[in-house]
Amino acid sequence: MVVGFLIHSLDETQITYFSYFFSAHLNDEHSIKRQNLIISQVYQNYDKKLQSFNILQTNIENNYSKQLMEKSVGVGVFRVPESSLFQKPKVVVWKKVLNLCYTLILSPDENRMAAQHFLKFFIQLLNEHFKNNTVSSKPKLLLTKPEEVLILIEKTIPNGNLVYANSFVVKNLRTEIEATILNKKKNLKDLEIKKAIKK
Amino acid sequence: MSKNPSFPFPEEKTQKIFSKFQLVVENKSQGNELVDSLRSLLLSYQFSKKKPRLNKEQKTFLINIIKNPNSTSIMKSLSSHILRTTSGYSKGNVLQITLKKSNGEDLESLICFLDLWVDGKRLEKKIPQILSWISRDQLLTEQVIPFLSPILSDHPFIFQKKTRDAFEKQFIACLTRASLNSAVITGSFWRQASPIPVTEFDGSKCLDFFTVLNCSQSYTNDQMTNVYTFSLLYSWLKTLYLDPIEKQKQKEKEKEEEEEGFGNNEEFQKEKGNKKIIKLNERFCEDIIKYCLRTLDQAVTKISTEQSPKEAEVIDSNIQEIVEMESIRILTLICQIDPGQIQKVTSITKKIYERRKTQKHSLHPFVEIMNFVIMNIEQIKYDFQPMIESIFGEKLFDLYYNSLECFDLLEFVLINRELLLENYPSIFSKHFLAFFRILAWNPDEFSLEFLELLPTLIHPENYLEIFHTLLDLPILSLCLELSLYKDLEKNVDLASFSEILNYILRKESSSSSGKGKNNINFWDQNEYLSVLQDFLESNKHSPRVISCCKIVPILLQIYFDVLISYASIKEIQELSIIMFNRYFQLFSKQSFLNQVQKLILEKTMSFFAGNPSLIFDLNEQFISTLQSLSPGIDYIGKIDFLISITWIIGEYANKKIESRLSNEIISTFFGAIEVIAFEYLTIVEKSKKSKKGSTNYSMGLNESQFHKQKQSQSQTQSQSQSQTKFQIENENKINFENQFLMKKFGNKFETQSLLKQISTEQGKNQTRLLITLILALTKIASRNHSFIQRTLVIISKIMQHSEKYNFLILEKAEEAIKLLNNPGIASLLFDMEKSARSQKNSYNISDEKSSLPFLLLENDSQNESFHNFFF
Repeated sequence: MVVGFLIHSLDETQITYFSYFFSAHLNDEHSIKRQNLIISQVYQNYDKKLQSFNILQTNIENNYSKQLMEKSVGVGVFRVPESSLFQKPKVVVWKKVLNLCYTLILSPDENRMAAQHFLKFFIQLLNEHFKNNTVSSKPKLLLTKPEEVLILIEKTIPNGNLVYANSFVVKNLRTEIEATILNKKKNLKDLEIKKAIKK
Repeated sequence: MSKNPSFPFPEEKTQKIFSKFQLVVENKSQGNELVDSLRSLLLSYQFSKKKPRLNKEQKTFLINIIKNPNSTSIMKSLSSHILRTTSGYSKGNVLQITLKKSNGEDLESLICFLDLWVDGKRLEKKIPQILSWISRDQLLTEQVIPFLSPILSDHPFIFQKKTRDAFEKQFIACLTRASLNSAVITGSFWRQASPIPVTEFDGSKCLDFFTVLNCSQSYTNDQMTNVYTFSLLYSWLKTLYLDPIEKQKQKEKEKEEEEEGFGNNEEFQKEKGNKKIIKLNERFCEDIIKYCLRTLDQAVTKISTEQSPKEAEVIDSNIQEIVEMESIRILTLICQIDPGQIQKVTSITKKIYERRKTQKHSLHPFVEIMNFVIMNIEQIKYDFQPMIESIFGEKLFDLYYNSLECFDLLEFVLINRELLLENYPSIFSKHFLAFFRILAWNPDEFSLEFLELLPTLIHPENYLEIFHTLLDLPILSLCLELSLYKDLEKNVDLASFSEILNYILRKESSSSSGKGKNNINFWDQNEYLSVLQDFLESNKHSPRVISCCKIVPILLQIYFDVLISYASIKEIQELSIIMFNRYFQLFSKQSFLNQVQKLILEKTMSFFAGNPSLIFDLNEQFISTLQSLSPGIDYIGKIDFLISITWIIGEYANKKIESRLSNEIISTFFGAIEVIAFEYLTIVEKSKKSKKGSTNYSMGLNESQFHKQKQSQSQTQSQSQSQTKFQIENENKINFENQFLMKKFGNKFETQSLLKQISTEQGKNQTRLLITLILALTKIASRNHSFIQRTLVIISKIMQHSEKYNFLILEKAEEAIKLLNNPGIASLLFDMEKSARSQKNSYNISDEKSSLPFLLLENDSQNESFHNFFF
């Protein structure tokens, strides 16, 4: 099961743009501490990978190796041992795209390949929804419509379940998300009209 | 801390948002005003440092939004998310009361009930209602099934037999009876579109029942439920069947009465008390197997490019592999719960492996196949050794940069290490270098895994090679980087280095490939050494290499602990010689060097404490080292080394401890220490003559004196022709340090203070060394009285210049004179029998040729520590 999903920056600021915990006990007074701990660990791992890559990338002669390395810099996984903040061990899987990092906190027996798959199609749906392929380079866009990010998460990872989504399920989810958001807007208009009529 | 002024929200901003929300609550506002307020509230929870708590009225207001059929989905989503985010603070009280009042009879209340994680006991009472609803409404089933995951995780006791059976009956329907047509898309108002049949990935019509690997143009509720049910299966089976079985086994094994999570439920306790193994419903089990088998067939279906455009094709080929992996995971669980299914699943697993082995695939499905094999190793007759060889000998070797695949494999190895050691020991003995590659490339991500894994890797055939590999881990990391970044064959710079590089990046263990376990230190090969040193110096160390340097001392500590606890005398002897040789053959980063050298010395002392006969095995190394050392000793590295050797010789050069020690060896030991002591004293004497009247160079003076002397030494350097190499080296060092520190800190005061510290450290080290020399000579002389006169001559030289020495040195010198003047008492003190020493050196490995790791070998002294330093 996915117990948490974080969307955050991966620089010194380490801003959390969105956090969602699917497990009740993770939404206690330590939730911020918990999310900051994860983000800081992701940042440290990424930063070291990036620095190592930067130091030697000028010497790269083999394009295939270069692509492999570039790919491996932007993704990672690590174990979070049992502690006062996490009563049970967890596994963190993260993926960086431009200025944003998408981080999943998983129970140790979750299918990690499915988690990686989810990150890919979630990012794709997010870009499509915001009609901006570079939403990851302008994270503040997410803050203009947090409720729509919320819908995206709720539909693609319902209650922390990783959905085994083929391209047709992804297409279906895309339609459903758009319809839900459109209906919401429509419903909202209806409510406004009803309110106006009452007055 | 955030540098962005907008984050976190200032306190005033948060307060303003909450005041506005309170107004919305009081006015019961609707529409955009409400949505805006909820959105701000959500952001304030996201970005405020101090999160305000919702009061009872506000929570009730939010719950009513969720339950109100007229609320928009946006309002419901925002409200439930805000309530969930704050649920930990409210402890559910208000939620409980509000929900109790509503009786939870309507659909909205029920969903709200599930959504807000009401406590398990209350939820348990609602289960019959949930079941009756999902049995008659597909839409609700689609909504309810995803909720089962968090409920399973937080309240597993809810699912007693009756409830389990009812849910499983529902799952069977979801898994095997989903529509074979897509949802009807309403077209124009005058024409209803006809249903489109579900297809396979190759575009053909669905061959059997619907699964996650079928394609539907528009998913019906039951098709989505099918997808969700498959997602839930693994955690359902594991939480409700395997975990209790595992717990019961553990309980029986450890005779523990308390269990977590399931403890409070009466029926569960009853079940546990009766020691009943929870059996999987036969029909459910059959249908799961049927479903998994179908997905395994579908996983190899060729994807039609007409049906899936290029981007979709990537997703689909990816999901084929993921579903294949998940199906194997589920089947493995089924076999653990119901061993009767093993034979059936084995043939399938074998087929999948045969199918996959020639294709270039990720490691994930192979890890799952291995997991199935190892879980059922006793029942499986098929030989999976070639698969193990192929994964650990080939695939893993080239995938060290793929952290996700490596992580899966490491987790698998760690969880199943005991079974793997018993059944496939070659993974660790032959292919352990692949694990070190993973560590060298991912030292930060996988350090925790390696701390656990290392003891499993060490065994009698490879322990020396592992020692070298550990010490050379930073070099391995550097070489991995270079091997990827540069085309070695074309690169002229690396041509001369290629032999070492090939050795460092070798695939198979040298000891297992018949090269012998001793022929594995490239530092011993002089022709490569200068190339190696040039290479290490000319390459900038990346953070990856630095991280390797940090983790090596920690891993070495574990390595030594394993050896100290389990190795035989012979192995300790071999290792001691290698440790001694590698002391100066290390990666040249100073902090790494210091830590590793310190550890090697500590452990050398420990080895001697447990096995004093090492004094004979190492006598040649000791003597040649002492003879090669000049008195110009660099205080950073060699003083500690010299002190340790001298102390060991003094302590253990005793024929009563080690009968193989001849008079000749003891005499050579004494002579070597005597020469060093003389050289030191001569330095002091010469320095006195050359600087008559001044309080010049000496050992162990107080800090300010010592510092002043260093300064004056520097000024009169040109005048003194008789200065020794030691003095020159010290002065050069101080000048260099001075320049370096002035450059670094600029401030003269700080620089002087640092220099003072260094000088003080130097003084202390030299005092320690001289005291150790006196003690060692005294001990040897007390056992062999022919050395007494020679020792007294040295000590009397110290007493003659008593003003030059620290009181500690003088105290020891006086003690030594008194003792040596009473040889009988000296012998009583220092000439002990072996039996009077520690008796804990009982290494005993029954089968020294065993390929099992140390941890698995029968060892009489297994529970007895090697020495009493650590345990």
